[in-house]
Amino acid sequence: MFMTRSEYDRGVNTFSPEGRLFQVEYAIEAIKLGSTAIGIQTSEGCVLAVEKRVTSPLMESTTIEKIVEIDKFIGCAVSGLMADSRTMIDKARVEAQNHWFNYDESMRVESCAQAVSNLAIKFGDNDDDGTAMSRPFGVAILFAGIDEKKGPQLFHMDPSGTYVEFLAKAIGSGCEGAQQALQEKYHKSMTLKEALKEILVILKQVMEEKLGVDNVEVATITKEAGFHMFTKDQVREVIQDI
Amino acid sequence: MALMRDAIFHSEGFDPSSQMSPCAETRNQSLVAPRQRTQEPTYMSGSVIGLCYENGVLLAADMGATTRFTRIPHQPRILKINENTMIGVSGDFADFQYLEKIIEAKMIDEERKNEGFQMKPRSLYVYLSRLLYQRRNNFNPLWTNIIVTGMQDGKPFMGVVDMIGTAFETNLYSTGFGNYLGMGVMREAVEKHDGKLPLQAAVEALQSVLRVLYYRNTAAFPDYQIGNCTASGVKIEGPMRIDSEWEIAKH
Amino acid sequence: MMSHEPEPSPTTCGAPLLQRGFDPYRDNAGTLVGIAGEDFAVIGSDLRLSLGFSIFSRDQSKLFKLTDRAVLGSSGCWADCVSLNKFLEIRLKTYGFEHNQPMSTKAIAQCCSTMLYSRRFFPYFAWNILAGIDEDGKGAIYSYDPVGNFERVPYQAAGNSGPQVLPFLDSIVGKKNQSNPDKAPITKERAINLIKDIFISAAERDITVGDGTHIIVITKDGLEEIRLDLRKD
Repeated sequence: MFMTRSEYDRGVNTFSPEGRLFQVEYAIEAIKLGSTAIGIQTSEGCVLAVEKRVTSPLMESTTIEKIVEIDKFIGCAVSGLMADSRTMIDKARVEAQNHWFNYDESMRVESCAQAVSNLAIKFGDNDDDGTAMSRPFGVAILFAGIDEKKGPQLFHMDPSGTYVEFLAKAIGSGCEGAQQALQEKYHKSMTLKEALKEILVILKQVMEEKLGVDNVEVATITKEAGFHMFTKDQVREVIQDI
Repeated sequence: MALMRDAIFHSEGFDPSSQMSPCAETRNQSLVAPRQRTQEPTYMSGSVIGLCYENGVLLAADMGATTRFTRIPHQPRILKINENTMIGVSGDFADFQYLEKIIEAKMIDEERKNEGFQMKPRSLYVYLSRLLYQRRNNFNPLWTNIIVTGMQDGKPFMGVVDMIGTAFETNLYSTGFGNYLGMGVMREAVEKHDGKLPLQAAVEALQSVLRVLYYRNTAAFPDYQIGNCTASGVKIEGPMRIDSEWEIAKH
Repeated sequence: MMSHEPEPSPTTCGAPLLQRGFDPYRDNAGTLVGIAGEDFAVIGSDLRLSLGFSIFSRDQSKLFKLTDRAVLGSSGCWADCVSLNKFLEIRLKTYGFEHNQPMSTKAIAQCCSTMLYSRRFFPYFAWNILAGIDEDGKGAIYSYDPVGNFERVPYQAAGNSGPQVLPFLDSIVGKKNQSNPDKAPITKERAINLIKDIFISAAERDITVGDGTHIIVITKDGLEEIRLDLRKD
C-alpha cells in the first residue's frame, strides 16, 4: 500500500526514498504548460522572445507581459504561473536597485539570478519561519543581460532554484522542439540581427497560433542601449524579414 | 565633537529619550522614566600598568578601590584568565566585578565548546573591545579600562581596551594617572635595554612607577600585585607593599 | 512656581535626559593625506594614537588595506574607526562570495558612504579617505565626512592636521592661484616625497602628529608600503 509515489508527494519538503522532491519536480512540469520563451546570447547582446497566448479576440494583448526590465542592463523572460513570476520579478528588481544603492554599479546577471534563486527555494509549510510560499514557484525564468566584465550573459532558472548559464535556451510548452532547433542553428559568431531573426523563426515553428505582432514579445539587451522592448512596428519589421 | 553630539542629542529636533515618553499626558510618571544606567562611576580603582619585556609580559596594579570618601583595601585587580592570558582592569569596581563574571562564563563556554582549547590573549582582547563598544553604543558603558596581556603564539602580547571600545596593541601602557606619570619611566627602561628588557629591570620599572603613583595619588594603596606571563604560564605575585619614604613629609 | 526643581526640558517631555555624564566619543586625532596620480594613488597616515595630551600608542597606523587596489584611511574616534573597518571587511568578504569578484574601488566608495550614513543619528566619528585604482586603472581618492557625504577628488588631507595641510596641497598639487603653473601630472616619486615632507612639517606644528608615518602606494601591481620615523615629542 506504500508503493505509489503519491505517498511522498504531499509534503513540499519531504524526500522520496529515491531522494526526490516530487513537488519541485511537478513544479518543473508545470512550466511545460506555459507559453514558450526563448533567449539567445550573442557577442553583441542578448535577445528574448516569448509567445503570448491571446485566447480571445476581445482580450487586450498588451496586458500580457512576459518580458520585463529588471534593471537597465538586465531583462527577464518568464514562463509558467504568471502570478508567481511577479513576486520573483519584484525581488529581482529590488535586489538590483539595492545593489546600485550600496555599490554604485549595476548588478551582475549572475548575482541577480542568485538573489531570485534564494527566493525560489524559500518554500515550506511552516508559517513562522518566514517562508515566502507554501509551495514551490511554478515559474522558469530566463535572465538576459550585460555583465560589465564578461559581456552578454543568459541564465536559466527553474523552480528548484537551480540556475545555469546558456548560450541559447527555450522554456515553456514548445521548449523541446525549440531547444532542438536552437542547437542546430546556434553558432558563436551569430550577430544580434541574426539571432533576432532566428529566434522568431523558431518561435513560429513551435507556436500553435500564427505568429503575429499581437502574440509575440521581443526584447534585446545590448551594451549600447541596455534593455530595449520592441514596439509593434519593430516586431513587424522583423517578422517581415523571415 | 562635543558640538556634534550636542546638535544631535540636545536639539529640539531630535532627542533619543523623547521616544520613551510618547505623549504629553504621560509626563512625570514613573512609567516613562528611562532605565537607570551607569552615568558616572562609584567605587574607582587606580592605574593598571603593563609592560612587555624580553620573554614575557608584566602587569602591576595597587589593590583596592575608592570613592571620594571611602576605601575598600586588599582588592586584587589582576586576573589570571588561563595559562597564557591575564588581564588588569581599572575604573568602576562594580563593572570590573561584572566583567570578571562575563569573562569567566566566556572561558568556560569556550573550553566546553572547543574541548579544552584555551582562548588566546588577542582573541580575548578583540572580544572585550567588541563587548565594550557594543555597551557604549547602547549608552550603557562598562566604566573600565582593560589591559589584556599574555603570550600570543610564543610572543609577548599587550592589548588595551577602554570604556568606549577604543582598542590598540602596544608594548607598554598604563591607565589612569600612570598614563602621565609612569609611561615615560617604562619607555626609558625599554629604550635603555634596546628593546630587550630583562625581567628584573622590568619589575624595577614597574615598582618605581607604583611608588610614584603612591606618593602622588591620594586614592592609591600601598599594597600591590604583579602578574607575570611567560611561555611557562601566568603567575600573579602579591600582595606586596610599596617601600616608601615619608620622613621628608615631616618638614 | 516657587519650586526649586529645575524646569523639565521641553525636548524630553519631562523625562530626565538619558546620558548626562557619559560621552561616547573620544578624539584620538590622526592625520591622513591622499594624492591620486595618473596610474597610482598614495595615502599616508601618522602613527601616533593619542587622547588630549597623552599618547596611547606610537605605532598605530590608520590605514586599512581593503583589497589589492584600495586602502581606507580612518581617523577620529578610534573605537569608531576600528568598528567601521571591521564592518567594512565583512561587507567586502560577503560581496566577494556573492558576486565572485573583488569589490571595485568605486563600489567600495559607495559602500563606505552608505555605511557611514546608516549611522546618521549616532555617527561614526571618523574622517575617512579612500585611495585606490579605479576600473580604468587611474588613481582615485575619495573624501568623506563622518556621516557619509563623499566626493572623488584629486587629493585630500583629513584628520587633525587636515585643515593645515590641505591649502598646501591646493598650492603644490592642485596648482591653485599660480600664474604659470606646470600642469604636468604629478609623478609617483614626487607624490611620495610630498607626503613624507607634509608629515615631517605637520609634526612640527601639531602635537597629535608624530612618532612615524605609514605610506601606502597603490598601483596596478598592488600595494607598496613605506614607513618613516618622525619626531617623538
